[in-house]
Amino acid sequence: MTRTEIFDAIKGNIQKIIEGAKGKEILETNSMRDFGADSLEMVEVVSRSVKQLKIKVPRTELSKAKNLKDLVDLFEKAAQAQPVVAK
Amino acid sequence: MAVGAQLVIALAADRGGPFGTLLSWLKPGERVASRAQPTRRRRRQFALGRLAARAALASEAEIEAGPGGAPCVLGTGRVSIAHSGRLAVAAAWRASACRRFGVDLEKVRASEVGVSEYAFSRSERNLIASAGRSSGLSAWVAKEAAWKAMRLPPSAGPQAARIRALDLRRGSAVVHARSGERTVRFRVSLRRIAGPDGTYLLALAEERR
Repeated sequence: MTRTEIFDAIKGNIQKIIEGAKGKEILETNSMRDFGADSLEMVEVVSRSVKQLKIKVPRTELSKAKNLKDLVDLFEKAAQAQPVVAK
Repeated sequence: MAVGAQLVIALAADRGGPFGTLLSWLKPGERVASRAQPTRRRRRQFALGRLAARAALASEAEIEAGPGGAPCVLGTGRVSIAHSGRLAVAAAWRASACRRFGVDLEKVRASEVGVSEYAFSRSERNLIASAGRSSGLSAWVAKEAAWKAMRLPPSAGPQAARIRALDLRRGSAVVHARSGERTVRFRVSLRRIAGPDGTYLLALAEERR
């Protein structure tokens, strides 16, 4: 999974869940608060993205993310740590 | 609405009038803070929250933003504010009450928060699953109300407050929150209330001794 794929998944969920982000450009330097997200919306974006990307991230680490870059970094690290299953 | 001898709750609804009218009710510092919010929705909600707080406090004092954005008022009054959609709520009490209170509010809508591994631990998710339909949102507002009562920083995350009991029939929850090594227990009252654009869930957390 590439960094771009991770960021695209997060962006897609932000666009779907956070009203103030609809139609806006979303950069890694943004935080969800920049689009007026409340705490429930932020939790929903994170939860849906984790599920979509099929990764496991410790809750304590997620709470430390200050912007989308931090979140992408965390998700990327988690994706690299996932076991690869041969088909 | 006075709840007990020491607690007053006030609601403010946004009927959609001009933003300038809402701002005209605020103090200068509050106007600046309201305009600085990132979106139109947040600007209106911020203003509405301050109006609810002023009504609950029955005071003309300016309500400043303290550490982490928590409302801070000079003097003996304490206040907790929440907003969602077009409704804001504030709970005010005297510092002499010597216990913590917190409020949260969410417009009722479909949400997957109840199954979120980020929002809730496995034992909390089991409680939510056995509490019935729409219990995820109720558990979330209960947790948030206790979290706000503790004035925890954002970095503390949802895991800093844990749902220990959830009874939707009685409209109550028990939440434990951590403050350093100490566990603080909260009883949370949950109510469904009518707002200008639908139904809202209101949670009031009260520290238990």
